[in-house]
Amino acid sequence: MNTSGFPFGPWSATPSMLQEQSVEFARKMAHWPKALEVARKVRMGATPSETVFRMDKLRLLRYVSDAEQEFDTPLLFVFALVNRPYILDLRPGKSVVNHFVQRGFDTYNLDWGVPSDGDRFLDMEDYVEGYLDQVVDQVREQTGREQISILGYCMGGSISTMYTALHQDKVKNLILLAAPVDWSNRDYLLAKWTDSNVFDVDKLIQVYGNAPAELLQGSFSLLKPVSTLVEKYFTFYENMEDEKFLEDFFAMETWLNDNIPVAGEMFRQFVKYCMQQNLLIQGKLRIGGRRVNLRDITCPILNLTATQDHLVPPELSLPFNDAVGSTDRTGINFPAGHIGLAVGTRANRDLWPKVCDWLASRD
Amino acid sequence: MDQYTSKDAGSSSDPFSRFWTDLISKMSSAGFAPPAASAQDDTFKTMRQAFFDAWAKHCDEFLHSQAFLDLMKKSLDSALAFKQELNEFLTKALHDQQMPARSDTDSILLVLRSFEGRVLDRLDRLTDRVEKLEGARPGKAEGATEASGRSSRRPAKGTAK
Repeated sequence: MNTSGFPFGPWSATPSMLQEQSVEFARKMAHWPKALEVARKVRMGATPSETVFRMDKLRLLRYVSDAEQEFDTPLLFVFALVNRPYILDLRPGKSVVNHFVQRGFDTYNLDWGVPSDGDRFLDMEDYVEGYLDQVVDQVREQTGREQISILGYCMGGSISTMYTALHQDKVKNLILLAAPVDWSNRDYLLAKWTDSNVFDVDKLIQVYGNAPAELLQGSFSLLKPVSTLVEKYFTFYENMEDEKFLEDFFAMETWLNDNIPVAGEMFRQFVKYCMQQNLLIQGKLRIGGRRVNLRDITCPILNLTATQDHLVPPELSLPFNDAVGSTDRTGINFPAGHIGLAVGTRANRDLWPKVCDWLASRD
Repeated sequence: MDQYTSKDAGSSSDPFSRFWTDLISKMSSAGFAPPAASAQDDTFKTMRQAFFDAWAKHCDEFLHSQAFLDLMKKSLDSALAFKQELNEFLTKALHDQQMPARSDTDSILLVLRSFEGRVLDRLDRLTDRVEKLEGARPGKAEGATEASGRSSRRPAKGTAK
């Protein structure tokens, strides 16, 4: 005898279940206009900012706040070239920038801008020795400080390590956030896909000019296809009556779909010299005729990694601490994913106040 | 991790057959105990999560596999070959009409970059000379080393707002 309460066996739906689900479905569908309204109104950016410097397509943003400036050393955020930097200041309660601004740091963010076809020949030297160096000089000039602190996220972290190795005299503290520096682990997915036997980066850049945003976005989505292409929509369906969830969801979706192309020559050199030949950690990378020797980095460093990072697994970042010449080296491997490290509720509650403390004690 | 090869296709160890076998077994075990009516939602969610987990695991294995890498290489090579032919066709079509193509703007860009590089190199050398001369003046020696970290090629100066 069937005692489970299900007339056609344990796996079948009872009429009351079907009725409940139909009602729930109808209720959610009735909520669509509200969801679309939230999507239309969603705004990125929690902290007011002003543009203090422009150069070609890049902008240097300085965050404005009523909070009293407590610390002398300015902080510059350096983001990756593949996405827009507003992920660091996505929404109230999910803003890395806001932690530092409210704590009293003079905070700047570098927006590299969107490269056009005419920027295809911009290379690593242009970005590291050109743009980043000029931005650092600009921050030093505007604040009257000899040295600044840099926080580099993802590929922006790799660029920041290169810069710091070449210009240690201008950098007081270096914070890396999920920044790849050692690509010797060839078993992780992006390393396999960008292997020289599989991926002809020279041909791609020769044909397309810049690295197309669609290719980058498609590759990132394919790293975790079930989660990014299926699962999240189920989560969306289940939570579509929760306005707070919708705001966060659409803000994140807007950012995820806001990929930008990467300047062709920069992309080619990064893939070839860093990802394929792993020259950075070996101290063999050359930029503008100068060798990038990580041992030349002697400032305090804080290396933040995420345990569940599928884009930059901790193995790609952790060797950095042993490769530098600094004696003040700290590493935190936080339980989060690549993006969760910046916008996750737990990271905002537990990680970023600690990072602020770390930086404050080294002002 | 690298469980699949191109040779697997069609054989008894076909990744897709294994995927479905594995999936069914995981989903059934996840919801094996007949659910109480009040816990039906949780049971379905558990089964669904088991399905997603199994699916994600097999996708990950497939994406790591040589079969997928071969497929990716072929697709990318074909797409690039097609795009290159298209570029060449468009270049020829534009040139036939006495119009500039992308290759022409690329040439101009390269000339400009080379020109900029030469100008900046020259400026750097002149700055070095000025700093050395400044350093040679009595009481001005501390300014003489500033040029040592300068790059040979920088984009032109930006504007402060």
